Amino acid sequence: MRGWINDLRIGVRLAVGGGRTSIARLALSTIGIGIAVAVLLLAASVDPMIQARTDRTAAMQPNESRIDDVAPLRFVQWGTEFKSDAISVLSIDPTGSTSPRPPGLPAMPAVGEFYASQALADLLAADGSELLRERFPQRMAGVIDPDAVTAPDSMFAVVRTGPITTAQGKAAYSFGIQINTPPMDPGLLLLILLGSVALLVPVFIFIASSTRIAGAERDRRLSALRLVGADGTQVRRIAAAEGLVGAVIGLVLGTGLFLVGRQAAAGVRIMDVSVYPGDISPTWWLAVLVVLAIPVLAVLTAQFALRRTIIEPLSVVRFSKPLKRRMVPRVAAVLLGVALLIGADELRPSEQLWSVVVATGATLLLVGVPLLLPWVVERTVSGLRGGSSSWQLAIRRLQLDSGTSARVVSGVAVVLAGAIALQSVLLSISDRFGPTEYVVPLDSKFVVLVGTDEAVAKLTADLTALAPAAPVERYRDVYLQFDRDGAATNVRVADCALIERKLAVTGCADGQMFSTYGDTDRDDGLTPGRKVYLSESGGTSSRYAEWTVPAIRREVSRPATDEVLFGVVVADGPSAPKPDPSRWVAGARVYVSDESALERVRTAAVKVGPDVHAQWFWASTYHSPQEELFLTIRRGLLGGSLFTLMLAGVSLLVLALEHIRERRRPLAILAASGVPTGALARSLFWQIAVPIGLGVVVAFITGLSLSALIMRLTASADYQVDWVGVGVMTVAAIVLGLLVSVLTLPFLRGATRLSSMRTE
Amino acid sequence: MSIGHALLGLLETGPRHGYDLKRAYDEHFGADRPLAYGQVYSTLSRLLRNGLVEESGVEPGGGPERKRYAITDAGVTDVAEWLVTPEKPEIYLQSALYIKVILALMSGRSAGEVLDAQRTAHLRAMRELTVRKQQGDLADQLICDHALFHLEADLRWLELTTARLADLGKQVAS
Amino acid sequence: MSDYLLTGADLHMAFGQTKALDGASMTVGRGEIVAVMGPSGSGKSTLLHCMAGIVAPGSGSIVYDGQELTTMSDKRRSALRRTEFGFVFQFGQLVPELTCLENVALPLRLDGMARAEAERKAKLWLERLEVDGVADKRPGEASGGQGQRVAVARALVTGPKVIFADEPTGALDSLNGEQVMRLLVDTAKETGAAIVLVTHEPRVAAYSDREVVVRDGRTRQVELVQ
Repeated sequence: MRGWINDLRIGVRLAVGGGRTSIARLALSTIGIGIAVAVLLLAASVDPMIQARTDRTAAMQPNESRIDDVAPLRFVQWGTEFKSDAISVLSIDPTGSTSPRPPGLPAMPAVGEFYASQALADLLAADGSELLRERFPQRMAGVIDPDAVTAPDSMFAVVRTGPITTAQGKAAYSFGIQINTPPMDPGLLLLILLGSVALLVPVFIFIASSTRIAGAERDRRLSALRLVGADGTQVRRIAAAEGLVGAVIGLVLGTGLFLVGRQAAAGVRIMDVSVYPGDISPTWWLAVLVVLAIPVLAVLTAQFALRRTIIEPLSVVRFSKPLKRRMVPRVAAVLLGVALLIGADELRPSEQLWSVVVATGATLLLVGVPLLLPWVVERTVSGLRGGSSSWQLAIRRLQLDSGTSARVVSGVAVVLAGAIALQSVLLSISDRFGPTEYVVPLDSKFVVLVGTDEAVAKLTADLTALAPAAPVERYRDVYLQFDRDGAATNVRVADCALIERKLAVTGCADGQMFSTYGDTDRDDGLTPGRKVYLSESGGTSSRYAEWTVPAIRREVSRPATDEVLFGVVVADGPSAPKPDPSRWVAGARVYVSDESALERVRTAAVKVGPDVHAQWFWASTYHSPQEELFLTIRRGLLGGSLFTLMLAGVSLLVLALEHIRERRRPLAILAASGVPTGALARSLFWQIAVPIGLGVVVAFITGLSLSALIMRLTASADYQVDWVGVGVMTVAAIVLGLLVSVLTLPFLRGATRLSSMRTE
Repeated sequence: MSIGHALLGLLETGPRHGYDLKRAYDEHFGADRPLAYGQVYSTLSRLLRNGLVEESGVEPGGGPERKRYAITDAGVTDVAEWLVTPEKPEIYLQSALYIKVILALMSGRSAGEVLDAQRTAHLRAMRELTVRKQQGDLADQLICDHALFHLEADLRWLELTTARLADLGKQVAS
Repeated sequence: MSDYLLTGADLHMAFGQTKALDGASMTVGRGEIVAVMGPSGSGKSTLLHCMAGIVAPGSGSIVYDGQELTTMSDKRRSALRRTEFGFVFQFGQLVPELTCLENVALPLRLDGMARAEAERKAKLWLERLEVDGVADKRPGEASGGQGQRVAVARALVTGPKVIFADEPTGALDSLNGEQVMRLLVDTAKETGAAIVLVTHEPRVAAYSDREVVVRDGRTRQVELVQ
């Protein structure tokens, strides 16, 4: 037992006490591990982050289930926009003393008071928010507790103005609802799996590389021990202790980094998302996993790197060619990954096993990059000769030891492969999930007002009073259903003056219908005289009135895209369909010339009340929950990719610096014997550029294969390669490599100083 | 330094006149110290007396320089023994060792054996000097170091020569 | 023959195509100093590594104190190297991260001795070799001669029966070389340790009692004591 402890202590001593150079080495490796740990903890916090937001949002929602003995709280949920911020508002009207109080409010607001979230309060107080303040003329009674607000940047207010009369009003008996998450779409699940693998594998690769920093030195050190009489297991123990030191310090560093970074998250908005620092806590068992996995990984890597030292200690001392790499298990691992991904087809996506199989297959395939890259470099380089002296120096070095340079580049290559795979899958899937991008060739900008007839009428009147010259176009959208099969369509109702102006016709009168499709053969079911039903946009149960299609149907030429009148337009009058006035069928377009005009329209809309909303046409797009999820995932993945790319860059820099440090004596000798620093720099450049070039090729092949295999598993979308995205990523990787070469130049100068030539 | 042995070795390749012998000796070995005629003839007389050479013919005209000498069997044996006997390692071997090597090669014998034997003798001598050095005072150390360095120089030459044997053989056989 | 401490018989060893040892043999008696000489590439270092149990020969037998080295487990061979053998190489043998004192204490610690005691013993040996001034310095900060003396101290600290020295003075100047050899031989004689000395320098070989000449993987033994 004492022997064990002795060995471990020797290992620790070797790691820590070696003077300037070994402290530098330790520092580099712990920084690498530290960053990786911080990233992993962040990744482990993603789920809790999302969950916390969802929980808070759910807790805020009014619950309409009846509870006896509770006086209902009448409420209306509405919203407005100010500049680019969306503000949601809850107007409440308690009917009794037992009415539920919205969470986060210290007390029920009195009539004429409101509570605002911190972000909204700040915005209201800011300069330039006069038009916003006009929308909240009530007295601000206080700030809503941040625990009840979804995110630090959420703009939310609870307003009490008096009795709620609108038909939109509902009654709540408590707050807090269950949000049922529907089973995830397999395509999205695949995306998440692939994304997680693509982002996390580089981190682990990076940890392994950090542990193997200064490998040659360590090999020599441990060989010396072996020669002196340490047996195989002793050397393993010592090496393990060495690795552990770096791992433990790295863990502590990384956790510290995570905690500090977490606090910094408070003021930051990444890709439209802001987060409470408190939300960023890793799932506890994932955090434990990270804390355990890092040291284990460090020890395992150290053991693997010891192969050569244990078997042939003298070869290490003599700088002879390294052990032959065993390719068979490496190739087998990659093939296993491919097999798993192909075989996953047999399972159903809802099974837990499916996710495991897919994730494992993708991981194996990605891990194949650092496994196969050294061999690729070796084979490619073995046949090369000649060229300029800097090229020769580089090639010979690579021929002798392809492993180290390949390892340096592997991190970047894996990131690239993952990114390529992700880009293509994102693109292929986005067709199904992404919002349709519509091109809006308009020469004039307008705000769309939507609401009840009465409210829209009032609002347009107010606006006309504000700016008599501003054009306003009013209409009504009516949803119709046919008798037999519930098929639906809709018509727009407008008054004749507008019809004549917009559709360039004359003689418009009540009882006329205009079809703007320009296609006389089109059968839209609206045959004159037919009886149809008015409905609330679909579903037989929502029918509420009848209407007869007018007798006269006039075909007119198609107006410019997105003109206010399109489709089938019915002239307003006694024979036009009469929808329920409490429903939101009325609409209007108000043309605005600049931002302040837009804000004035919005303010006027708020003043009219919750029965009308001013919609800024371009800014908002409607997304289904799945689409929302997709967008969130995509944002997350892109953000994560940035992180991993940064991580890869740092790892590349660290390893390149270590490379120079290791080689400082031969470099100094070369410099002393007259080789110009320029040639040395170019040779170092080639030493990095060749593996990077090969790494890019391997990453390409791996990434494309991975995305193809993944897309194969989802039948719902066509496989497309995002060549643009791929191209950008590839260029980024190459630039990263060049950048790193450039950054190492100052250190090269240091290394070639004659002082480096001192033996030992 | 045995001139007698050198002359014997030269005679092994064939009978020669006294004049011839001197010329051959000077050519191969006497670069900066040519042999005097008197020395040649007095050595030859001695060898004759000891039965290691014999007269093998007289040129007309009389006089010692006209006599031809040939090596006897006894002479051959003498040369052979002399070749394989290592020289007493002195700090300046002068040309004794060199001569031995050349003659060995000329006569087709193995020069390797000559060298090996000499090498062992040198090493033994060096060992004794080292022991003496370890036990002695500073003066002893200085003297022994001096001798050791010279012996080492010889030894290095021996080792180098062993490695060059093939080349030397080709050169001399011409 | 059984009187010898360490015997290697008919050793064969090949690295790839090249034959490093081709039927080499040598013996080492107790307290003897044996010089192994030969041109470079002759296999003399390989012979030393085989005899010391660092590398296993392709075929042949090596017997130390009655035990067969070639069939020993790595653990036992390592233990042997730790306790019964000592090593002095030309360079690259001291661990650069540790101080000289820790380097000397290393074999003891690897054998399980507590740190304080190991370093105490190490200090004594450093003093004996007149090099305790560099005890707290790292090998890189010491001069060549000092470093080799530290190496000798490390070789002797476990009280070995055989010291294997591969070109111990190769990187040193004449005076330092002399001093190191003197110390090595004197302390070996005091402790009764044998020395196997691989060298190409005759003046170093002159310290030995017997010479083993290695040429093309084959050996020839020559007694130097008459």
